[in-house]
Amino acid sequence: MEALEKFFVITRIDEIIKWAERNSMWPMPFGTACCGIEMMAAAASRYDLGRFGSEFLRFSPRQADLMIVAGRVPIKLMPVLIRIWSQIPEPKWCISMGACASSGGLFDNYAVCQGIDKFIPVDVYVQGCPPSAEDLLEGIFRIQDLIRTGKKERDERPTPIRIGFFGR
Amino acid sequence: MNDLLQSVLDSLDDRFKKYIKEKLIDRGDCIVRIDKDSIYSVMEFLKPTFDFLIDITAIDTSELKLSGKSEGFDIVYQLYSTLKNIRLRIKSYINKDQKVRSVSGLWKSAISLEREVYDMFGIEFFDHPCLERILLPENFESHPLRKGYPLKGIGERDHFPRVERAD
Repeated sequence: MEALEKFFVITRIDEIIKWAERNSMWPMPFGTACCGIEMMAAAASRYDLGRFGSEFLRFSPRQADLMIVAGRVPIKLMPVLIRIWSQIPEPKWCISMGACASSGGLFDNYAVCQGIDKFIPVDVYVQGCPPSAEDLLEGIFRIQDLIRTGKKERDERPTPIRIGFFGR
Repeated sequence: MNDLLQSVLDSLDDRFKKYIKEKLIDRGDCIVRIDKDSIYSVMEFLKPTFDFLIDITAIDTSELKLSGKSEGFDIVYQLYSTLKNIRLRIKSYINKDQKVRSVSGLWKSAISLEREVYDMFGIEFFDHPCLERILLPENFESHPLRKGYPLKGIGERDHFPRVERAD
């Protein structure tokens, strides 16, 4: 019996699926502006997204399960964003990175959509202009928390999660 | 003023005396304002000297409150000679619904520049190979750099379908 406990872990099947999901998030980078540069920095050697299982930035939405929208989304790009989001297979998560993606930022004009959350569901908002790479890593941790606690809680939470702080 | 530029201006004067309305130097740039009916002939005359059309743009003058002007546009051509290193700006005041002859037969770069002017101001050019929108989406209906168009648009940025998750 002691030998069995040493070599086996007893768990539930959905727990082990969640464990696999959250430790290999494959992000689909949707970088359109300076936030995209911070996202690349987060994936590069100094911050190294690979430590958390997200080292593959999948440029095909069909192979991704986390979309990181980094930068402003103009009206000409919004149909593309919606289409790419639709092409990501379920289950999928979305990070809205930076002021422009979350609210339009300082581009309050006819050409820029005022927040992608009007049109696609967003799980985590990373604030900053642009956010630092650590903030993006924190956002990915929060997505992992959401997976650990289960989808239902994510849907019922009253307000979106915002991370980072102003004036960093 | 540059001697080369002066000689070009003199020859322009000889040829188009009655069409030239104004000549001035503003911050070192030579600006010639011409009559709206002579735009193409002046550009055709300048083409052998100025081999590079830097930019075409327009100014909506409807809120400028200039004397004797109704609603319309100032259309601006910025020319440069790569051989002589001289620059010339041609301006012309056109009425709101006036169609302008395209200079794309003289400078190929005018094709995209005129498309941009058409996109932003709604000025139509005839003799243009493909006068379509270039920056804005094809289904966009307004011309956003006109003064009558509100900065925040008329709802174009809000009209997209909302996509939900499957679960």
